Amino acid sequence: MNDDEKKYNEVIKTLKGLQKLKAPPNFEADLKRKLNAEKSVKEEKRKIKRFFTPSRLVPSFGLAAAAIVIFLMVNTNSEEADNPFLMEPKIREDVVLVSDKNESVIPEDNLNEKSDLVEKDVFADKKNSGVRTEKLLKERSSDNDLLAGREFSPSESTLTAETEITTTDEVSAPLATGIAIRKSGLNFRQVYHTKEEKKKILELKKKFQILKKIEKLE
Amino acid sequence: MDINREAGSRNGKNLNAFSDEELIADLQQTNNERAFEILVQRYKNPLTNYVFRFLGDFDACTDVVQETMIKFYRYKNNYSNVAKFSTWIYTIAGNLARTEYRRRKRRSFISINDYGEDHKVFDIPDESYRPDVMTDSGIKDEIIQKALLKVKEVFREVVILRDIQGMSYEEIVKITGLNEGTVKSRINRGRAKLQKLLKDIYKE
Repeated sequence: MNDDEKKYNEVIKTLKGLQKLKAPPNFEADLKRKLNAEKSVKEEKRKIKRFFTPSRLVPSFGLAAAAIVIFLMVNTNSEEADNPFLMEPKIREDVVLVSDKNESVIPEDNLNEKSDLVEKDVFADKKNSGVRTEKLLKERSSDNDLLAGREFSPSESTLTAETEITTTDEVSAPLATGIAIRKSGLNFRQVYHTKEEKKKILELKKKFQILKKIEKLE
Repeated sequence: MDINREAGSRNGKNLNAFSDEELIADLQQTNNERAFEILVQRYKNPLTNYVFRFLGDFDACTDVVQETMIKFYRYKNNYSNVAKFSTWIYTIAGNLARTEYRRRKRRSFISINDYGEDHKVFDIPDESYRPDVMTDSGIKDEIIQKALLKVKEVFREVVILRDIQGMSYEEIVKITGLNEGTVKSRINRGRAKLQKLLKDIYKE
């Protein structure tokens, strides 16, 4: 014992005489529980870390990429995706909607039958329209004769039979579509004269011609 | 744990006879949990005594000692045979106890200062101290413990290690990382303060 220890002898004795404390009885059980909890947390962290390591992700990415490639290959070779040049054209629903019972889409089963009918209709239409245009041209020529006093031949007209204003209600569509388009469906104004109106017009024209003759005589 | 115990006896090892350094070497090499158990059994009471005298709170002391054991298990491979195992584990416990003490001190200081308008620091009455229930030795222990807690942290630590735990100056130097002169000086200053605080007990 050195001098310092002699000096503080009483204090040292007091401190050494203090009761020795012991750990609580459940100390080891609590410690074990804490250690296990820590281990499980560590294990979870390690698992998560391991799951996201690049070496782990490479096979899964490879597998996913292979699956995508296979899917695309199978999908492109499937019957659903046909060559667009070999595909049959689809029927436009908007055209079908505006058409009436005569203009409806022809089912494939009755296609030949219906197309014959359509052909007949179109032919009849053309025939009718020809007759009508002839009539109209005659009327016009007579009018012109009255007005100009000269001969009118249908060939001199600037309007051809096809481009002539037809009185028919329908215009035949190309055969391939199998659809007839109505004039009423088109967006332009049609004016029809009644017989009375036509008479009035003729009377006015006659008056006008008489006046013209009088003027010439004078 | 039981499997390890059987494994230990099967190998013809009597782990209880092993020194601390041998046990930790076994733990490092074979991860034998029985070795860990024996070390915990050997050190749980001395460390509880040391930490309690430093902190003055038994619950906090138990937590600190358990945390010391967990750190010892987690960082068992960091231990090198250069130092004694006791020095290593006391260093861990001392560091944790100091951290806890400062945390508690800071917390109580903030909570007390927040109370009242003139920002005075108040002493908290200790309800656990009941002279009518405690024995004479118990009362004496309580008074000594209170006196210890009034000694500065740096002096208290070395006084506990020297006079309560009975360690040599050399060991204290290794645990605290201070030089021997500083350790001796701090121990004497701590003792002087305690003598002053406990003069009434000596008069009796």
